[in-house]
Amino acid sequence: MASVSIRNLRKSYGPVEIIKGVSVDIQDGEFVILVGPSGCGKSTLLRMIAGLEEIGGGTIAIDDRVVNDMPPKDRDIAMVFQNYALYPHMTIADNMSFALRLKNTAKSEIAAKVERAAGILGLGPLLDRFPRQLSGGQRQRVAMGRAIVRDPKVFLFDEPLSNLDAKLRVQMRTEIKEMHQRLKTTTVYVTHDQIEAMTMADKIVVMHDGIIEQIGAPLDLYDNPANMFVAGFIGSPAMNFIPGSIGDDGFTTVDGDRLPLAGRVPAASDGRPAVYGVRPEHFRLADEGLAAEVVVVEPTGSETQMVLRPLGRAGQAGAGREDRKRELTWVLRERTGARPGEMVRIAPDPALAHLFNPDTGMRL
Amino acid sequence: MAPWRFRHPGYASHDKQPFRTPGGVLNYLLSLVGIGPLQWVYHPGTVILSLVLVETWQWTPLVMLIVLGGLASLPTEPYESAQIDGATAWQRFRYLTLPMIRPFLMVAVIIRSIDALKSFDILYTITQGGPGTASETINLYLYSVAFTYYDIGYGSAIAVVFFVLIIMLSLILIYLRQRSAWNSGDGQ
Ligand SMILES: Nc1ncnc2c1ncn2[C@@H]1O[C@H](COP(=O)(O)OP(=O)(O)O)[C@@H](O)[C@H]1O
Ligand SMILES: [Mg+2]
Repeated sequence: MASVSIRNLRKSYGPVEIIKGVSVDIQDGEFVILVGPSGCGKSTLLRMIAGLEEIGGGTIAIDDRVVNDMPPKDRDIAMVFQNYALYPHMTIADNMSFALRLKNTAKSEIAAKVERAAGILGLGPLLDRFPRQLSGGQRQRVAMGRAIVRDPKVFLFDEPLSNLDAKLRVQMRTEIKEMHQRLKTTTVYVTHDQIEAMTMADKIVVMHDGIIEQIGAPLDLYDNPANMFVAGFIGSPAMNFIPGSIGDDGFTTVDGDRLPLAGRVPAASDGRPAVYGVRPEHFRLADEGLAAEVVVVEPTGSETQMVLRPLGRAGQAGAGREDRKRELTWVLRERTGARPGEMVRIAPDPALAHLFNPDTGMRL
Repeated sequence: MAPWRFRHPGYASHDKQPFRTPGGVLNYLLSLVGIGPLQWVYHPGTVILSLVLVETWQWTPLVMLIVLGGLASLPTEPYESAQIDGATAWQRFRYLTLPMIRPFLMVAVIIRSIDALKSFDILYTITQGGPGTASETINLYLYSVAFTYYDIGYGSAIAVVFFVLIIMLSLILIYLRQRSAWNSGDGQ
C-alpha cells in the first residue's frame, strides 16, 4: 500500500505538449479515476506513473520516494492494460505467476498466491488454458489476477473494460470495486467513461487537453462543477447550457425567456452575458415556465427523456442548425402523454442551476 | 544477403577456391592469426567442417529472413507487461521472444534439414564425395551407383528409401512445429 504524489508533471512528444503541468495527490488505499475525453493524455499520465514513459518535467513520488528515474520493475506497481497484454504462449497459471517466478519465489508460495487470486476472480478451472482459448471477459480477469498475485503497492488500470460488451462491463465494474474494497490497494484507474468514473471512484480527476479541470468526489463534481467542461462531461444526459444574460430581475435567455435565480446573483452584473446550466433532471412542469415544443420523447420505463426546442418570445420554434444547438434535454421520472409537436412549459429548479462565464467557462 | 550473390551452383566451383592450399583465402586469413595452413576439403578430417561452412554461408540469409519475419510479427504488448512484471532485457528475450519465435525457428529448421539432406550441387562441385568417401552423402552415393556404375535397380531402391526417410523427418519436424505454435489453433 502506498500514496502517490504527482507534482507539476509534464510530457511532450516532439514539439507537442501532451501533459501540461499536472498535480494530483493520491492517498494510501484510495481508488482514484482519471477521466476525460479520448486523447486528453490519461494513458500517457498512467504510463509515466508505471515507468513505461519518460517524464518530461515535474516529479512522481510513490510513498514519498521520487521514482522519476526508477525502472518499472523497481516501482512495485502492477498494471492492467486495455488489450490485456497477456503472454500468449503461457498458460493462465504461468501468466499469473510470471512476476513471482522471475523473483525466484518459492513454488509453494506461488501456488498459494495463484490459487488465491484465481479464487477471487473465479479463474480456477481455466488455469491450464492459454489466453487464446478465453473470452474477452476471462482474459480481463486474468490480467487482473496477474496484478493481484503481485501484491503491489499500486494498481494501475488503463481502460480495462472498454473492450467488453455493455453487460459484462457493468458486472466487471462491480467486481473491480469489490476487489478494491477487499484488498484496499491504492488504485489509479483510467477511463473515458464518466459513468464508470462516477460509480467506482473515491476521487475523480477530470482531465482535458493535458490539464486537470477539477478533482473531487463523484457527487461533489456533479453538484459543484468548477467549470462548463466538468459540468458538461460529468452526468448523463449532459447538462443543458442556455446562453443569455444576468439582470437584477433574474436571467434572460437569448430567446427572451426569463429563468429564475436562487438569490446568489453576482454583484454588479446587470446585463452581463452568462450561461445558465441546468441538468436534465432539474426541470419541472410550470405554468409560468419557458415554452418549448416537444421534439422527441424517449421512454426507458423507469424514466422519460425528452428533447425540447424553446419557442422563445416569438412563440415560434425554428428548425435550423442554430436552433437545434439550443435544444434542451429533460428527464422526468413520471410517465408522460406528451407527443412530439405539442407545447410544454417547464421551469428549472433555481437552487440546482449554475451560472457560467461564457468566455472563461468558469462558474460564476 | 551478400552470400546469395554466390547462390547459383554454377558458382560453386568458385567455392573451392577459398579452400585452396596453398593460395586459398581462408588459409591466408588463418595465417594472419598464426594458424594453419589447414587442408580443408583435401583432408577427411576437415572436409565436413568445410562443407558446413559453405552451406552456412549460403543459407544464413534465408534463415535470417524467416526469423526476422517472425520477430516483426510478435505482439508488442507483452513486453510492456513483462517490464512491469520485473523482467530484465535478457529475461524478456529468454521467456518471451525465444518461445514466441520458436515456430519460426522450427520452419527454418524444417527447410534447412530437408534441404541439407538432399544437398547435391555444392557437394558434387566441390568434393564429389571425397577425399575417398569422407563427404559422401546418400545422395552422392545414389548418384554414383546409378550413373557411374549404372546399377539402376539398386539406385532406385536407395532413392525410395531416401524418399521415405525425408518424409519421416518432415513429419517429425512438422509435428514439433505444431507443438511449438502458440498463436493459432488449439495446440497445447
Ligand atoms: N508515442 C507517441 N508519440 C506521439 N504522440 C503520442 C504518443 N502517444 C500518445 N500520443 C498523443 O498524446 C495524446 C494523448 O494520448 P493518450 O495519453 O493515449 O490519450 P488518452 O489515453 O487520454 O486517450 C494523443 O493526442 C496522442 O495522439
Ligand atoms: Mg488511453
